[in-house]
Amino acid sequence: MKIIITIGSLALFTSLAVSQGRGQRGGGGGEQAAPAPTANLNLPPGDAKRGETYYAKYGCWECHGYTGQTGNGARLATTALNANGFVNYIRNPRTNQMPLYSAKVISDQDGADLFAYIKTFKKPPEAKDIPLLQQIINEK
Amino acid sequence: MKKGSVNRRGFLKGAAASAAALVAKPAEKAQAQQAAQTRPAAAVPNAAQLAAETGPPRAQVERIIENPGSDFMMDVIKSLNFEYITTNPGSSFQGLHESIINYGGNKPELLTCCHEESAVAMAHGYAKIEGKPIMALLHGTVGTQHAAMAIYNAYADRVPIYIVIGNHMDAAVRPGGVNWYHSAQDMCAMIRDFTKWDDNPASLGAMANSSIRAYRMMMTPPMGPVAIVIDSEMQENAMPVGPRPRIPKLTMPSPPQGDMAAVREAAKWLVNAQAPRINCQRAARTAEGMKLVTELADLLQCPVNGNGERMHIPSRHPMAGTGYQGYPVDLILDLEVQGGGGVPPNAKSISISSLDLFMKSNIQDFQPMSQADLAIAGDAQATLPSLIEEIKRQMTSDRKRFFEERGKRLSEAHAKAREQAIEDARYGWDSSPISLARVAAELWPLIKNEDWSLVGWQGFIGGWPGRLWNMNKHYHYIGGQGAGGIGYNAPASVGAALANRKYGRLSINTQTDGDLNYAPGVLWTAAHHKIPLLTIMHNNRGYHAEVMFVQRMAAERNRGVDKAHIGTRLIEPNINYAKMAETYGLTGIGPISDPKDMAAAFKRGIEIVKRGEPVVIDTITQPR
Repeated sequence: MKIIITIGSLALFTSLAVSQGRGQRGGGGGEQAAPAPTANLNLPPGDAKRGETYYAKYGCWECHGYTGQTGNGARLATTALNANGFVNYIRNPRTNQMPLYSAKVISDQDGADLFAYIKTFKKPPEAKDIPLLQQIINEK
Repeated sequence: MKKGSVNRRGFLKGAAASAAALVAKPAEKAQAQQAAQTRPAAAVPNAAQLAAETGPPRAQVERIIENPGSDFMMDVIKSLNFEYITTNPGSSFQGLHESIINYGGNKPELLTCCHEESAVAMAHGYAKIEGKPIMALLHGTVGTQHAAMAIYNAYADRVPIYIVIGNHMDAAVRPGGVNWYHSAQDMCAMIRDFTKWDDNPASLGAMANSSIRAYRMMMTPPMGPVAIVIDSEMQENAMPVGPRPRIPKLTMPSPPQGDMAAVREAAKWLVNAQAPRINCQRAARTAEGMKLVTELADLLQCPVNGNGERMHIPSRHPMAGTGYQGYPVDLILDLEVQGGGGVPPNAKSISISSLDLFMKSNIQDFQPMSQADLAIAGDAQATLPSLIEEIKRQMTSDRKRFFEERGKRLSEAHAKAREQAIEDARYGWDSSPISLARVAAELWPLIKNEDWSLVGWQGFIGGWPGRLWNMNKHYHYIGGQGAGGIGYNAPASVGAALANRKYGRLSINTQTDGDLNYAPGVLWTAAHHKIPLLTIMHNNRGYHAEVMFVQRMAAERNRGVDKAHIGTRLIEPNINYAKMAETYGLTGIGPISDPKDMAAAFKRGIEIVKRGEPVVIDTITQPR
């Protein structure tokens, strides 16, 4: 048996509050609202192929989804960060939910590769182009 | 000896004597066998057969007990009007089991469960839909321990479950071997921390009294599970000579209401507050509770935060939510919030809770101490009518105008929150594995014109149904585990679907893979008892929250995160839940990993469920 730690507090509140809670924790791009620390890391060029391997190996998919669009974490598919900002961010995330990755765990090269892979993620369709969602918004 | 008057001790003694006689006469036995082998096909009765037909009854006849104590127990149970009894069979209640199916005509209907945790969790789900309990029948120490987690969940969720436990109480006549392992001096000691009351009655008369008393205590808020232990000897022996014990009349006490002076004060605070907010956890016990909370929100034009554990306000009601960004909360009204919710600095708070009337657990389910400035001990649902009337009495036309202005701004915030939910749902729309938002969005148009009921917990699926669907009935959502114990969702959903069946409702469960694997045999129970339920797997192939926990811990220790899957994921091999369902006798559909395939699969599943059968659709999903 296990006790749910993170979800239990959400369970108290309304479904709308669930949405807000997720936003506060970084869902909905909350982590991207302010720029990350921007020490110049002089990163090497990234390799998206290697980055794909690291995305799985380092478990990025666990909070950001397999396509960088879902989950509790920030939506990587629409990130406004550049490679330098991205690697700075993973070294020093602003939320406790996001694990901290030192250069010992993810080297600058690995970070650059990861970012190159993240930039290959497709953006989601617009809500106005999804009939199912439009039907829902038009309902009373 | 008079027929039916023999007790089991007498029978056991007689049986032992008969066995000894057989051992002592091997020669006679051999002769009888030889005679049987040589007799003609249409033989006339031999002397022994004639004696059996015409002579005095053999000692074996004395085994017949036509008025066992368990028949009386059945009369007691029938007086409580349960619709069902969930059970996994066991020798400690074999007497009652027989009385249920024969003497009682299988009413309440016995439901065969494959695990006691399933039996109790089914009762948990049933009670949240129906507003009244069913009975779970457990076997001794082993069945009670199996059931313990589900009992604790129900206790923390304040849900009534009537538990009856068999026990071989008298060691002097207890059958040997395994029955000793299954017996206890104080059977309920192991669940006493999380039951409201229990008893171990020593006679049928005491059993009748305690059974009625237990029902009353269970149903008086705060509600919770109760347990009655029934001795196997008492079940199997004949009724004692003499007058039949009286079964007390069941008269339910009215639920406790808050003190009127305190209610008047609370109304004064609420009428004068600039920006109150109502937090609800388990305030609405029935449809009436949801109606009252909604009426209070309409009256005060203030936000209601709390469809997490029960439905308190329609999800698309303008007052549903926490208010707009920067809503300057100056007063919180907590309705049956365990421990009290968070209170902003400089805000006051009022709590109305039956939990102030009853608290006993060694386990810390009571949550942090409430910081209420005005604490009203009483059942929130029972107190709300008085509070609403008092607010109406104290409200002036000036305050009414102020409330209306407040309400307009809150309505706008609610509409924006809805739009944001739609905006959020587009993320991952075309992803494979499938996004949870898309699962909810694809399902909604197929069910919205049905009388539907979401019977599984939506916490693990991002709350998407509540964000996208129009939930406006108390049975549209029933919350989650109570104590966060996994293994609740699958059986509780089957129990809730059972309650929904007689209303013809379409029951829907979004089911996590980790939870189903605790006791998947409940799928067979659903198939066997024809309980219609659409189960859509949220199959992310792991205990996903724990994957993230371990990953975070490893990262903080600077050791790398590439091993976080060890001990947390359900892969290698992957589990095929469609095949699992088919094995248990259900229709299994999938696995589906392309979101475009979902609508057709959901339509097919709904058609089958509407025919009265359970279905499992295996959907391979994003982690969260």
